Amino acid sequence: MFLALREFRHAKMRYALITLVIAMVASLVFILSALANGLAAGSSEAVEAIHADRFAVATGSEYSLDRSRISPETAQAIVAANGVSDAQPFTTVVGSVHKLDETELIGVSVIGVTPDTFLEPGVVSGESLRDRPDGIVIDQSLANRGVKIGDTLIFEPGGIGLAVVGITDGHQYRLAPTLFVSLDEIANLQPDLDGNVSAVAIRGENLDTLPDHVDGIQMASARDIVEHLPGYTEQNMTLTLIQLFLVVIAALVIAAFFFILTLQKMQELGVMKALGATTWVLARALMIQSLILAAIGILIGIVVGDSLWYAAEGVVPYKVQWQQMLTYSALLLLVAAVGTLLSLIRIARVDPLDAINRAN
Amino acid sequence: MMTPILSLNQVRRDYGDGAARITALHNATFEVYAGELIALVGPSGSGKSTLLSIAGALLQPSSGEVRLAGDTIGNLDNAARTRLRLERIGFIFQASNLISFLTGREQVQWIGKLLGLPDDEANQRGDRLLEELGMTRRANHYPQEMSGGERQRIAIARALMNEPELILADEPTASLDGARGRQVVELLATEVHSRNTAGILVTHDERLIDVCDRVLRIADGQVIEI
Repeated sequence: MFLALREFRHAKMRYALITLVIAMVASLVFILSALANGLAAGSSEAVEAIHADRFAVATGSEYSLDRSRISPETAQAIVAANGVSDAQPFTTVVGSVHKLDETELIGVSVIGVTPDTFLEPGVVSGESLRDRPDGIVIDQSLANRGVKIGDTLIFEPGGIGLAVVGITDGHQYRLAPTLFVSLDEIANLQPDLDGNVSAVAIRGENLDTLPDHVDGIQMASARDIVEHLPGYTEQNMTLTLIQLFLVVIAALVIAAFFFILTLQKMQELGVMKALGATTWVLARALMIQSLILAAIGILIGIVVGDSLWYAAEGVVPYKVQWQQMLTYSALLLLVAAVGTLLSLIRIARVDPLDAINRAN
Repeated sequence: MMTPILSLNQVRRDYGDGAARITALHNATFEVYAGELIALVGPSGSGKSTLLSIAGALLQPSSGEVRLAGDTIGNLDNAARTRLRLERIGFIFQASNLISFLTGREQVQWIGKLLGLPDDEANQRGDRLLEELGMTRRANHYPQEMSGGERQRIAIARALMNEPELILADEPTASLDGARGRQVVELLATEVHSRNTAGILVTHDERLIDVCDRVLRIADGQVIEI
């Protein structure tokens, strides 16, 4: 610590600048992962909130709830099949709503469920569909846009109006707010369903053999459905790739910084070795410096990433996950250590004789 | 008879192999006793640096025997030589040999740290040395804020910090004017005498040799005592 800290003190500006660069890279890593989390949650949380073991979707739908159509007979066959303890059909529809007295359209996903089943969302305020099967339960994300309990929302196309009776939370789907209505109401909103539903959420055992007994369906997990949402996988891959590049950049920045600094200090390091400093003492000082700078940079990154969470609330899909933040912090610390290895090799090769032979 | 602090017996150092082999040092034999400061003079390229490096356990001889206070040091491994330099030898190099990011006091304290001395003992010993060398007032300055003479005083204090048996000074006056150079060497001689350590001063400035107790001249790798 003696050498490491005194060198910081002597060249504050230099070390402050490199810390700033690390802080910015760390901030970007944290912001991007929070953004990726936010986008992922906004795309999929409604599906993941359904605690089903499996979903039955129509064959050929490629796990898309929008393309899947299951007839009432098939749904009945699933309910009656072996191993199924509970099966609830539901329907998803894409549409828009506007408030009765306004014309601004809001894109939404409408999910039709049977009230008083495991599909029915819990409410954080107002009444549930169980009590008001003729109403709408809206997601908090729609409430954040000014829709209140008691408002009437008009569905487009169709022009049918329904009253908001309750608010649920954590139910976005495809980055749009979700509205929950009863299966009966969704049949009114979307007459061309002809009594079909999108899919059946199933609880039970040995469900993967179900398609052998019921024609025209395939089994999907929540993950399958989410990963087949248009663009979902690609979006996550892109963001993950950018984050990995940032981690590599952090490693290179730290490596280059300490390497150049070490090259500049070769003669001084020679003197120190001649005076009796071991490679270990000098290497430890460098490693401590690198880890301290990285730790400070990461802490700043955490503060930045976290404060944006409050700033971004309701504006940008943004979700901080502490465990993930810790993982990325550990990764950045690790690359800081790895980045100094090149410099450590140089330090090991410094010959104390250079203290005397510097003229040559 | 008194054991010499440094004794070289038929020490030879070659660089390179076969036809390209250059002998930098031919069968050097001499002894340095406690309490004496030896001047080692000679033109550049004469083997002064090689001799100093071998005496300071920075370089191993190709053949011959090197002893520090009776202990053979010519064949030690790297780690043992590093340890030996830290504990038993004091080095003073040319002008720019202080560590740029440590203040005068910290240069000295750092040796105490390396030795594993308790902090207050290291601080006390360091401050005493700085006072002895008249550097107390300048102790909190960085090397680049000091004059050449002040830097070398700090370097002397640093070299004395481990209470060495042998002090090796490699052209410590190289970047100083005559008067200041002489002051530094006189200070060094005073310390060597008062502490009863052995010292070797490498210099090409013949005007300084009267400060020293004996003079060794080296030319083409041959050491002659005058």
